[in-house]
Order: sequence, then structure tokens, then C-alpha cells
Amino acid sequence: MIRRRRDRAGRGFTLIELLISIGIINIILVMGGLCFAEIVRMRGARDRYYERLAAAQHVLHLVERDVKGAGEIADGDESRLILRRETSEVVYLAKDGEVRRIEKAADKTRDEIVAAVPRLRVRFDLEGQSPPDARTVATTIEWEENPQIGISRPTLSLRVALRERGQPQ
Amino acid sequence: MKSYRTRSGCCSQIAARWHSRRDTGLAFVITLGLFFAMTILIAAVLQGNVSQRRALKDRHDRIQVRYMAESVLHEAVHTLSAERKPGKCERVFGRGDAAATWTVESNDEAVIEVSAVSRTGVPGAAREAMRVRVRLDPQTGSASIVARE
Repeated sequence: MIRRRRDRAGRGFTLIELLISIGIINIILVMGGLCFAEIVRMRGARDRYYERLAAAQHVLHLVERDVKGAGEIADGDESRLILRRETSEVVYLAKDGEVRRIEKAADKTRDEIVAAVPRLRVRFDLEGQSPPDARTVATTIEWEENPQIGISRPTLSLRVALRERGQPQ
Repeated sequence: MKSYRTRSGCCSQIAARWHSRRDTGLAFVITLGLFFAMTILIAAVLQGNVSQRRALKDRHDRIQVRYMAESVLHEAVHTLSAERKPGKCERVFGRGDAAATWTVESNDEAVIEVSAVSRTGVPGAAREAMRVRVRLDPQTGSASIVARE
């Protein structure tokens, strides 16, 4: 009786026990891996969101500054805005996630890409009358976002009016 | 039947104990503990992700509402500089409403009250309210913001 117990005690794991243990360890490893991947994915999605948000805010800031400083909205449509100042002209061109700002003065032209973000849509709406009598520009920026961060289509919109004559900038 | 028990060396003794059927219960408890620990870890990560997502959404709503408020404020200043009398303007944006009401307090001073709310009617929606003091210049006919409260 004692010998049989000793034999059983020294027998070790059976194949089934080993397979179950390996299975459980595998489940734990897979769950841990998924968990880690989720953290990495979320961090990536969040970083991309902040990049797009920063680009959108930068464009809105520039448009606001230029519209406030302009004397006239010379022309514009959904993807184009032309502002006239006393000595220069500022043109915004928005296409395929790229926003260009071209400043034309008498002696020089400055052309810069102020935002280049895939799937960023920038729209200009001239409110009220058509140019050159339009006084207000609504700039709307929206982009596709990873649903993982909880905002499927973030939108930022800002309306800015030309300053009245005599109004300080 | 081959036995794993041996009297030589500590490691061999541990190996022998590990392979002992008598300790299967302990191994089971350890595995179960690991499993629960991993489950708790995953739950914490998922919970963290959910709260991070909510925080991002709230932050974006606040930024959006801020732009709405700035839009109506700008419109109010613009209207005030053109016509110096009390008034209000309301704007409906894609994801919220904003309104500004202004009163002319004296010949050269006006106050604008702005409020904006995102996703109107939803509890916990982002809100923005501000009171802005505007100086009116009777000579140039301009209006400029001098203080935000």
C-alpha cells in the first residue's frame, strides 16, 4: 500500500496534464500579447489624432489671423480663399489633405505648405454676399479618424469676419 | 516506473518535487493565480483605453465648443462695431449651438456674454461660457476686446 502511494507520488505529470498546462499558458500569453498590442495601437491612434488636431488648429489660427488682417475677400470657393491686404494678397489652397498658403507681395512671393495630413478636408464658406462684398469666412476642417479613439469624424469650425474700417487689428 | 526523486543536489530535489503528482494542486493554484492576474491586467488595460477614449472625446468637444464660442464672439464684436446697440446672435454648428448677447453699458463700453454647448441636450456635454468687455471707440467706430472674464 505504502509502496503504491510512493510510486504514484513520483510518477510526475501525465500527458493530459501537460497539454492542459501548455494550453493555459498559451491562452495567458495570447491574452497578454493582445493586451500589449491594444496599448500600442491606442497610443499610435492617439498620437496621430494629436498630430491632425495640431495641424487643423494651426490652419485655423493662420486663417483667423489673415482674415482679421485683410481688407477684402477677393475671391473664394470651397477649396480656395483669396484675401487682399493693402500691399499684398494671401491665397489659401486646400486639396487632398494639403493646405498651401501663398503670400504675394510686390517684391516677393512666399509659398508654404501649412498642413499636409492625409484625409484632412478643409472647406472655406464665404457667408452673406459673394466676393468682393463677402465679409465673413467660415473655415471648417474635418478628418477621418480611427474609430478606436472614439471620435469618428472630428470637426473644427471657425467663423471670422473682416475687420471694419478703423477697427484695430 | 522511473522515479524523479534523487537525493543529490537541491535542484534535483526541486525538480523531483515539481514532477511529483502530489504537487499538482499547487501547480494548479499557481496557474489559476496567473490566469486571474492576467484577466485583471487585461480588464485594467481595457478600462484604461475606454477612459482614455472618453477623455479624448471630451477634450475634442471642449476645443470644438471653444471655436464655436470664438466664432460668435467675433461676430458679436463685428456687429457691435457696426451698430452700437444691444443685440444677440445665435449660431447652429454641426455639433452644437453658440449664442452671444451684448449690452451697451456706456458710450464707450459694452459687454458680450457668450455661451456655447456641444451636442445640445446630452448630459455631460461640453460647455463654454464667457463674459467679454469691449471698448467702443466713438471716433473711429471700432470695437475691441479689453477683458475676458
